[in-house]
Amino acid sequence: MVSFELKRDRLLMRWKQQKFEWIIEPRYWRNPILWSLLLMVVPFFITGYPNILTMITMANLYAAIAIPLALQMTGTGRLNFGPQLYLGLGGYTSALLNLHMGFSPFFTLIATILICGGVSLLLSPITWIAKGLYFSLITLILPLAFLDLTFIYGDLFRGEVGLMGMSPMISLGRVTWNYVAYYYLSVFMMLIFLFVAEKISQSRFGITMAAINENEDVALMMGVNVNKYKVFYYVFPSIMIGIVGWFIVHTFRTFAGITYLPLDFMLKMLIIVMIGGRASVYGMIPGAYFVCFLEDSLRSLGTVNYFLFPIILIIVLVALPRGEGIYGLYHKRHPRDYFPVMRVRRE
Amino acid sequence: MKKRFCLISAVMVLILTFTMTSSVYAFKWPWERDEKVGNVREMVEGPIKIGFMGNLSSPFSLSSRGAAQMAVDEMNAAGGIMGKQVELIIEDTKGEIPKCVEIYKKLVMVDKVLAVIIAEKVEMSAAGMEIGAELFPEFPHLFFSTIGSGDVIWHRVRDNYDKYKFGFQTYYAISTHYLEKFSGMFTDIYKNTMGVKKVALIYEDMEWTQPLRKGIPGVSPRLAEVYEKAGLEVVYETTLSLDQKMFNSVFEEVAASGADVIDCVIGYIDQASFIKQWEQSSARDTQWIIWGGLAGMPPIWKMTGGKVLGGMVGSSMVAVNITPKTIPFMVNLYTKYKVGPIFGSHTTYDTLFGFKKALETGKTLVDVDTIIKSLETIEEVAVLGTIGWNAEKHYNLPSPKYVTPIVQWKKDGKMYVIYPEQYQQKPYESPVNIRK
Repeated sequence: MVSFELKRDRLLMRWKQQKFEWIIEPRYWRNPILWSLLLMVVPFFITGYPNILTMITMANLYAAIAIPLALQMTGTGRLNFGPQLYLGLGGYTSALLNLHMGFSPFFTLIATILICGGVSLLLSPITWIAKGLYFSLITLILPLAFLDLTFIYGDLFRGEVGLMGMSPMISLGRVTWNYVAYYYLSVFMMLIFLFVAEKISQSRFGITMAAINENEDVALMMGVNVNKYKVFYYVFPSIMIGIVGWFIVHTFRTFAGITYLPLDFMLKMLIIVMIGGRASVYGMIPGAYFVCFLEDSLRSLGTVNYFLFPIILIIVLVALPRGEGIYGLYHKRHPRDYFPVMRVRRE
Repeated sequence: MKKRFCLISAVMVLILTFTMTSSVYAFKWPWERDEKVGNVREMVEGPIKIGFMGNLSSPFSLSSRGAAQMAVDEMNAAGGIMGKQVELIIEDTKGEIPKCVEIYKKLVMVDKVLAVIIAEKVEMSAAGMEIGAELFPEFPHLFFSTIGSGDVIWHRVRDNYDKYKFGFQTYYAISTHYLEKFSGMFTDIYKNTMGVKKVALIYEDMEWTQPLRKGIPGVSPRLAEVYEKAGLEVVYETTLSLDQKMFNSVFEEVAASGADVIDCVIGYIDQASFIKQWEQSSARDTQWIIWGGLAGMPPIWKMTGGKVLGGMVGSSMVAVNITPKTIPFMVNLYTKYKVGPIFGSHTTYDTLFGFKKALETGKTLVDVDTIIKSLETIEEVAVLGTIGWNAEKHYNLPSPKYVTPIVQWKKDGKMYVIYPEQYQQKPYESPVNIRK
């Protein structure tokens, strides 16, 4: 029998031996609602500036890569230097199936999930056999090796030129409408990723994640099946990153590994994670927006932006509390605005 | 706390309502759009706007930017195009496709440029062209790719003319022309200028060399087959990785193969290391010809400590009077715009003057279809010969219309044209003789 119970800050639902709860305290919902609303109304103010809309869409996509990356880094207790491998895999899978087999975006999405899931599952044992610098080095090499493959098998991947002419995700008849639609889709994708990652980190899985991140041996001693969880935390975020690759393919309709697989793209992702604050997945969004807006506003200064941009990033990285990032800075001053969650190591 | 929350929520709802209402007023269904005949732009007041996009941290985009600015300055000094001044809007893509897409939209939709020039790697042009095709029906404009020899741009035009007709490619040669035109040119050099027969082929592992390495089934043969058919003997073939730094073993194999000449189909690998290792290998007496890149630029002499001596390369950085425009272009670019005329600068400059001629011939600034037809037919005196575009495929008219001189590095540390004969500055000498 289902029964509901209203507590001061939450609604409880009981069904047989199961218990579900939803937080209803307004202060915990205020910030997410306000920010989500803001993201919803943004296009109305900048419809005349499709470039800014595209820039924000890209910031959403960066955040959608950084969210699973942060989850993975905490869940495996390792620093992944090659998340873009799955971006490339997802992108090329979608693009090739769309171009050569005529798969629609829906089916390329399914194929992307299967391919990224399969490949990441095959590679997941590296979370068992390597840690620290060794894990970082292995993950660093993988996307670069894939990049080489895109040149060696140029017939298929078209080398430095990449693939182009893939079918669009949606077509509303007018380009401005399409760009606004892409923006909303990117927001939804980012928010879904955020929601899923947040749910995971607050669940039983989240407790294991914190335990693995803190000390694998202790977690193992306490009865946590560390290897099983590490596989999950490697595979699941990899699929999420692959989905971003799929999104890029059907939005920009071109995909070249030379753009997304090299080291500098990964560095941007890691900087977003560090600036946003790797301790919380929420931080990835301000991190991505900060990096994108900063980069775009400095571009108008001319070639000076090429050294100003990294200098500012270094200053920000040094100035922000280690591991806490922009989100941590706010959270520290307004701790009561957020529902208390399991705190994980921030160094 | 609750009061503040309610207040902020009320403000957000108000903003949302306002923006929703205002957007509903501006809303038009697709069938409510104004019907227009052909791709005619709205008449824009003020100057003719041209957008320039490049990776402004790379030498070739910087050089092209200088050339584009020079072309626009010269046009404006001469009274503009059809009495209107020309404005160049320069944007930096930072070599990233997402930025390229973002900027392309800005130039076409916000700045309302008539033409976009992408002067950087071909993948940027490919991405830009795809966005351009999306924009073209609503925002008619023209697109020029002035760096990048890949076939991807003109293949689009050939395969789907109506969708991609706004796109044009200007380069010294595109991959297919390398096979059609350059193989004939090199065969002539090997057989008649150098008097040799055995060729070693070295490719770099990039998209532009693919039609040469592997051929296109049913379309074109491999370069090796073309040479064999022309009476040359291909004794060695290999492909180098783009990030390769060690070439010693390759040169030893070339020497063992007994090749008379090393035909290097490369442009982007580390040419300084390549040349230095050649000079120290058993193949040092075997002549090499590099198709393009750093080996054809003055700094290579210092970078290799003079080891480039005797090497041959396709280069447009040598002051030879191909047309009355060639020398003034090089001098002005150096002196007034402080950049060297490296690859892409000539093509960018020539493209702009070809575009000017097309506007003047078509006598329109708004009817893009007419401008496209005009671009397909015009020919204009250019820095490296004659600029014009193929009517069906939209690549620029290849050699002998557009010339890339083959030069040789001589003892004084300078390049001299040895081919084509009408521009020859000094005769060819083998590496053995030139070192004496």
